[in-house]
Amino acid sequence: MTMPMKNIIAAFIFAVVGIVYGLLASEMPDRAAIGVPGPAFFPNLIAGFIVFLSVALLIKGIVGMKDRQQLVAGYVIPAKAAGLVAWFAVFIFSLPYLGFLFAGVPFFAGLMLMCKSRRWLQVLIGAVAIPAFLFYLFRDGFHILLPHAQWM
Amino acid sequence: MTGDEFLGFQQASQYSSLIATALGVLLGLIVGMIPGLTISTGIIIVLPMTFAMDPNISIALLLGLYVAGMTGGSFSAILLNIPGTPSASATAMDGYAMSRRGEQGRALGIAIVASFLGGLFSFGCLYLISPFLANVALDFYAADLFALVFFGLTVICSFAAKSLVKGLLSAAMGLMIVSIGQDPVMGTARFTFGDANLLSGIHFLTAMIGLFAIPQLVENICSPVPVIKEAVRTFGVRQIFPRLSDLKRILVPVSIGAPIGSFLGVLPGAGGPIAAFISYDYAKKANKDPDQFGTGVPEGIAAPESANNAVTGGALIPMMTLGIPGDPVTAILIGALLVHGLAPGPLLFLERGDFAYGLIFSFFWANIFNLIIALAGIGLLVKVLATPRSLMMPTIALLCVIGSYALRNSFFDVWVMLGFGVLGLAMRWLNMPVVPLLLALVLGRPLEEHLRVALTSSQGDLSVFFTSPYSAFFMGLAVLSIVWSLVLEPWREKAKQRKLANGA
Repeated sequence: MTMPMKNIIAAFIFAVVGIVYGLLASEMPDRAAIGVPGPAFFPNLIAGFIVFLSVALLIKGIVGMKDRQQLVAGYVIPAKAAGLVAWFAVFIFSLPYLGFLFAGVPFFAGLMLMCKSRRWLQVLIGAVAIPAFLFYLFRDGFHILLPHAQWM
Repeated sequence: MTGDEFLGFQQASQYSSLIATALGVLLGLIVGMIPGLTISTGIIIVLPMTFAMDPNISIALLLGLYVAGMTGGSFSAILLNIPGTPSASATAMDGYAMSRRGEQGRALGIAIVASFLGGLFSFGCLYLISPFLANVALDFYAADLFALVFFGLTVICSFAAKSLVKGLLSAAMGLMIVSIGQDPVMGTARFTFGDANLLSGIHFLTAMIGLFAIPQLVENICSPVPVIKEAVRTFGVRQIFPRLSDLKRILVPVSIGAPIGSFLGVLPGAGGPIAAFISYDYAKKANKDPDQFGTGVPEGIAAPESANNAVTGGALIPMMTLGIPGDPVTAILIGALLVHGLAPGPLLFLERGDFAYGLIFSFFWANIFNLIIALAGIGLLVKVLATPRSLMMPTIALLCVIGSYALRNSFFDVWVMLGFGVLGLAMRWLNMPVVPLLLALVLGRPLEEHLRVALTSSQGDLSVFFTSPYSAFFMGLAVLSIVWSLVLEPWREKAKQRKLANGA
């Protein structure tokens, strides 16, 4: 996707975000005295600013569509990124149930495999040793308790 | 030496602080030299460990990492032509050329010494300017403080973004996020949707971990930087200690780079890469034989290296005296200080002068250790370049989770971190800078607080921002930075098109 096209899509998204944010801010109870800015004052200002900038971005995108030099593909998020984020989500979801130590092992092993590590012994040792090392380092070295399994 | 200065020196020179500084330097050199890892990531990695430490020790560790990270970036730039940090990009031009001639040891030695001299110069600036600036800032009223913070934000948007609209949008998103939670003046809950987790707002360190570390992890795991193991094995790192003739040659470029770096470090958003390239350019112009630049001359290494290390001290000046971060690293340092209940700003010198001077002297020690450890350990340190990514990246991922969880022992924060990671990826896709968002997260609350207090005291009269000389000055600078960016943007576009046309 070209950058001007990305700008146009982003402009619409930002405009919607700005409008929704402004609407939520306008529903806020105003407990301030007359003439004194209340809690909704700053969010309203920001909402207006976001909508204004969205329009500017939209214009930038439309103008850019006419410029052939800008019609080149920009940064592409690698397809693997979705898998990585999903793997992160699975790990975070399992943290309260399995604890850092037990959830960390498959998470670490999965990431090692994503890094194209194919030495199974190295994956196994790394996936067990490093989460365990970090768990005990933080628990005993820094007195920071990391989540532990519910059954423990 | 005043009482606070003496106490600060004592704190920074304790065994525990010195060990922490040295450890930070060692980690910084390692993090800096690994392409794909930035100093911000390095600080994020060690951040959870600092939560349990004494503030003096934790700041000594982080400062060591900050200072040495800049130097470490030059190692891979010189040896592999891959800058470890963006600030080392200018160093690669002459550094790698020297390396190809078999003078890698000489090039590394020059880079280390120039970094040290740049850092030492910026320490002098930090030591002399900070107390004075903090004293001036004590006279600021709410309107002046608002104008100052506003100027900080606009200048970041102008410097950090290629497109002003995107920079401002990024900052506006940050301000929007920071408005979640209790408002800073009346304590009213805003945008919390009844969720207790949101009442205290989004912790900006959590946001920072997600914004910086997750996109970098994605990039490293999905399209890893090729680190050539063979290259690490084959180069010999001998003759590190610079010769007297080289030291004489680098005097002029260092005296150009160090002041430029210190000055640009003070400006929020300018940062190391800009300072390095400007210094390189000036050193080239000042040289009798400018055509030699780029072919592998010590001056071409000394100028950018002294500049990017001088940026560190410069960036600490607004952070310590005004609470305004000069770059992402100082933003994280503010977060680290806030975790310990210390708020950077003019009152820091007044209320905790010992700590403020301790920080300044820790910065001094960091530069000393940087010189010693880099010169003595370079032979071993470069071996780190061959560390398997398959172990390093998953470890960083685990440390990101630990860092976000340990802040408030909350799983909610870990989800927030992941959410910001996705946001960071989306912003990269849009070519939108994350730095304005990040700094808006730091500056958003003081910005709103000072704005509302100023307007309340003036009963809504907007002229309050233009009647005080300080606020008028900062508002003028803010307008100037926006106009400058508006002028610069079309000029950049034209230059780019001209370049493309010439290439075609």
